[in-house]
Amino acid sequence: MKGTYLGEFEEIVMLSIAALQQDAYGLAIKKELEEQTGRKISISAVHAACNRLETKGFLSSDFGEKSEKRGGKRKKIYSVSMKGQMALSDAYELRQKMWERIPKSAFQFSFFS
Amino acid sequence: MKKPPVYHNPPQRVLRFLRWFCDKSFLEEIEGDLFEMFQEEVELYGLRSARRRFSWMALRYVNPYFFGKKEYLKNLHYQLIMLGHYLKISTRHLVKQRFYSVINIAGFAVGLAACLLIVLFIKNEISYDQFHPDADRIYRVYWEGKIGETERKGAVTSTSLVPTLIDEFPEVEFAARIGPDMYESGNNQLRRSSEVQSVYEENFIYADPSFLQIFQFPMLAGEAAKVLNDPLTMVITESKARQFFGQENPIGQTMIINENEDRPYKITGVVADLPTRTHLRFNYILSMEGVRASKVPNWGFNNYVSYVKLAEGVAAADVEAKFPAMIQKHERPEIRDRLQEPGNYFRYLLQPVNDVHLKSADIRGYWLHGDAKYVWLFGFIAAFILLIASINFMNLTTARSANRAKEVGMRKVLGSARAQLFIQFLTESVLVSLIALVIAVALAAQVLPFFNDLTGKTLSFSWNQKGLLLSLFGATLLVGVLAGLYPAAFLSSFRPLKVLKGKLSGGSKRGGLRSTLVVVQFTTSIALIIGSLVVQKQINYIQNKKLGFDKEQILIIEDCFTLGREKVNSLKNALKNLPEVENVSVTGFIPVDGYAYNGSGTWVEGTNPEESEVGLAKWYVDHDYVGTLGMEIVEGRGFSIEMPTDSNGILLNETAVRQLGLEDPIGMRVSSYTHLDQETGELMFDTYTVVGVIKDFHFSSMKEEIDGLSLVIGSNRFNAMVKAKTPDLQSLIKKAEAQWTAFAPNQRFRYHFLDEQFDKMYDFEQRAGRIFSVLTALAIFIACLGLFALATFMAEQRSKEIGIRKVLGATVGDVVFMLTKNFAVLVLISVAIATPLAWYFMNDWLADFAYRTQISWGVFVLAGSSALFIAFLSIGYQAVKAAIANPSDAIRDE
Repeated sequence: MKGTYLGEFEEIVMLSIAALQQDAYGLAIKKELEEQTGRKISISAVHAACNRLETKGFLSSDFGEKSEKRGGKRKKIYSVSMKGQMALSDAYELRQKMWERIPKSAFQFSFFS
Repeated sequence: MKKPPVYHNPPQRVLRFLRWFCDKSFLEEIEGDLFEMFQEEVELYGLRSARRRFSWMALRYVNPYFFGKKEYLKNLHYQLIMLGHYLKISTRHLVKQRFYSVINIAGFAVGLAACLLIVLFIKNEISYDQFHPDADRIYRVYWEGKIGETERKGAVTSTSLVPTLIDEFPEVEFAARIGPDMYESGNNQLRRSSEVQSVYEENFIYADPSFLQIFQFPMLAGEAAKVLNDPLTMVITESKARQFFGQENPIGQTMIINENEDRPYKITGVVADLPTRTHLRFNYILSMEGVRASKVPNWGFNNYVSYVKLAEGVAAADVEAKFPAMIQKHERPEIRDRLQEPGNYFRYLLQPVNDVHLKSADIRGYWLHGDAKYVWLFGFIAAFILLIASINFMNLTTARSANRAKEVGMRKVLGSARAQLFIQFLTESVLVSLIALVIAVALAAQVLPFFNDLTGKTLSFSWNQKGLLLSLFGATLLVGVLAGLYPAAFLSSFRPLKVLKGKLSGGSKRGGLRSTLVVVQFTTSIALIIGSLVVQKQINYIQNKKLGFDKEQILIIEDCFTLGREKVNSLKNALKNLPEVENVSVTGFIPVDGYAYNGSGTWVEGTNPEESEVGLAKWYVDHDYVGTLGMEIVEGRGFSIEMPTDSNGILLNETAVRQLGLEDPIGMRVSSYTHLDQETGELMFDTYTVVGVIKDFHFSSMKEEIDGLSLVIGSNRFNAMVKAKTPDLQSLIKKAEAQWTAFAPNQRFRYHFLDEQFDKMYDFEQRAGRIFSVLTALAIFIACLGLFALATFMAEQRSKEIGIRKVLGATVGDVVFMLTKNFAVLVLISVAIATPLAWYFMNDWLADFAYRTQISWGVFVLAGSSALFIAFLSIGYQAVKAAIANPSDAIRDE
C-alpha cells in the first residue's frame, strides 16, 4: 500500500483535475475545490499539492499557450496519470470495501431510545 | 472593435521577492496563476485590497518546498574545493615571488604591529576611571569663568562648595573634597611611631569622610563609611601597609609625619592599591576632619577638588541648572557685583569622572592628565601607516599584473568566471594580511616593553583580551580585502583573447593611479617628518630659551624643613662655606613645577582691594634667592641682609608692576593677603614696601604667559638650592651629603638638579615627540619598502630597453637618471602637497604654547630633502644595478 497512499486533500485535488479535464490548471483547480467543498483554499496549497503529486508520478503536466491575461505566462495544465488513476481507484475501492463491512443497523437513528 | 482589456500590475516588489525565493521550476505556474487571480480580485475587491491580498498570498509560498535547492547551495561542496585551490595557488604564488611577498608582508606586519600597539594605548587612555562602581554617577565639579581680562577653567574649588552641595542639593547622594595640596598633602617624611628612621613617601592627600563612598575602592580592612570620620586618622594602600608592617596588622598603629610628634596619625583602614587607570593619585589618605580650615565656611579660599555622586536617575544637567542660584545665594558680594559687569561670567559644571583624564587639558587642577588631542593624533598616524602598507600591496600587485595576465587569460579560456578570479586575487591579499597579522602580533609582543618605556605606561598584551584579538582579526581581514579589492578588480578584468595574443603592456599602463598612490604615501610621510621636526624644534626652544634665571649647576636639597629652623640655618651656613659653592638659598618656592606655589590678592596700599586687587604669585624666599638663581634686577635692588627693613620689603616682577599700574614702583607700599584666620575665617593681610623690580622670568610652563609675581622675605624651609661654582657636581654632592648627614643622621639625603626638574615639566611633550618620531620612522620605512620594490620591478621590466639604450650609447648616468626621475618628480609633488598641510597642523599645535618657536622654511627644506634622499637610496640601488648590467645579458635572449 505504501507509495500509493493518498491524503484527503491530495485525493480531492486529483479528483477535481480528473473532472476539469483540459482546463485543469492551478487557479481552476482552486475554484473547483472551493465550489465543491465550500472551504477556503489557498492557491499555494494547490500548487504545493499538484507539484508534489507530479513528482510522485500521480499527475502529469503540460504547458498551454502564453496569454496576456496571465501576465505573459503559460498555464500549467495537469492530467491524472495512469499511476494516479490506479491510486484513485484503489482509494475508492478501499472505501467501498470498508463501507460494506459496516452493519446496516450501526447508523440507524433511534428516535425513541 | 472591442477594446483590449486593461491588466493591472501586481506589486512588483512582491513579485521580485517571489522570483528570488521560489525555485525556478515553480515560477511560471505560480506567477501566471497569481497574475490571473489578481486581475479577478481587482474586479472583486478593488486595487488596494487586491494588492494587499496578493502580498499575503505570496507570503504563503514561504516554505522550504518552494524555496527548493538553490544553485549555490548545491555547489557548496565545489566552493570548498575551490577555496582550497585558491589557497594553494596563492601560496605557490607567494613562494614564487619571494622578494615581493616579503616586502608586502613586512610592510603589513610593521603597520599592523604599530596599529596594535597604538590601539592598546588608546584603549588604555580612554578607559580611565570607568571601573568605579556607579562611575556614571560620579562627577568632578569644576568652574569656568571670565572676570576682567582673564578667562579660565579650574578644578580647584572653595571650602564651602561641598558642604553646600550636601545641605542644599537632595540630588547629591555623596559629596567629598580632597586636598591634594595643603599642609601634609603631597610628599612627606614618614615613620612608624615606634621607629626613628623616616622614609620619604609620596602622594598624601586629605579627603572628606565620604570620599571612599564615592570612589568605592576595595577595602581590605576598615569600613569605607567610617574610616575617615575622626581627625588624625589615615587610610593607607595595601602595598604601603605591607612595606611598613609586613605581616603585622596595621589597624590601630600610629605614624609620624615629618617628625611632627604632636600630631600622630592612627591607621584606620587599608585600601587596595590604586589601579593605574584612574586620574586619582594617592598612597595615603589623611582625614579632612583634622584640617580646621576645612570647617570654616569660606567661598574665597580655593584649595579643594570636589567630587559628587548623584542619586540614581538624576541628570547632571538638572543639577548644573541649579548652580547659578547657589552662586547668587552664597558667593561673596564683591564677586557677585563683578559678575554683573558685561562679558563677565562664572559657573560651576559637572565633569563625568571618566572624562577627567583626557578632557582636562584646559582645566587648571592637580595631577598630570592626558590629552585627548594626542590620543586621536596617534590613532590617525597608525591608520596612515596601515594605509601606506596597503598602498604598497596595491601598487606591487597591479604593477606586476603583466606577469599574471597570461594566467588570467588561460583561466578564462578554460571557463573561469570573473567572480572566481576575483576571489582568487582577494584570497591572495587576505592571505598576505593574515600572515602579516601573525608576525605583527609576535612583533608587538616583542617591542611592548620598549613601547611602554616610550609612553610611560604599563600596557600588557595577553591572549585573554579576546575582544581585542577578535577585532584585530576582523580589521586585518578588512584591510586585506580593501587592499585586494582594486588589484582583484583590475586583474580579473583582462580580456582573454587580448592577453593571450600578448597585447597587454600591463605594468606601465595604470601608471597614473600608481603614481597617485605613491604621492599619497610620500605626502603622509613628509608631513610626519615635518611634524616631528617641529615638535623637536619646540622642545629645543623651550630648553634653551632664556628663562630669566640660571637653571644650570643648581642642586636642590629636599626635605630641609624636617630639620627645624635652627638646623636649617646652620646647614645653610655650612654649605655656603664649602669652596665649591657660590650661593645657597633656603625656600620651597622654586620656579619649576613640583615645588611650592602660592598666589595672593595684592593691591596698592590705600586703594579698595575689592576694586584694585590683582592676583599675584607670592613667594616666601630668603635674602640669597635672587643671587642664587642669577635673576636680573632692573630697578631698585634685591633683598639685603644689612637692611633690617627688608623683612617688610617686596620684590615685584615687571608684569606685576604693570598689573598693579605702578609708574614709579620703588618705595611704593602694596598690601597682600597672608593667611586665613582659623578662628574667624577672616583673610589677614600685610603691607610691604617695594624695594626692587626683577626682570620677568619663566616660573611656570611655557604654555602660559608669564604672570605677575612678588617675592617677600619669609620662612619657607622646604628646600635648599645650592649654586655650584664648579662643573664637578659629583664632589659637591658628596660634600653636601656629608653636611646633611651631620645634621640629620636618620634621614636619607635626597636631591635633584634644577635643570632636570625643569625638563620634567615638558615630559609629556617630549614623550609625545618621541612617539611621533618613531611612528614617522615606521611610516617612511614602509613607504620606502614599497618604492624599493616598485623600482626593482621597473628595472626588471625595462631591462631590454636599458640594454638597447646602452648599446646605442647611453651612459650609466643617463640610465640612472632615466630610472629615478619619475620617482623624484613624485616625491617633489608630495613635498608640495605636504608642506601647507603640515604647516597648518603644526601651527595649530604650537598655538598651545604661549612661547613658541617659528616654523621656518628650513624645516620644510630639511624634510623635503631627507625624503628625497631616502627615496633616492631606495631607488638608486636598483637603478645603478640595472644601469651597470651588461647589455648583452638583457638583449641576447628571445
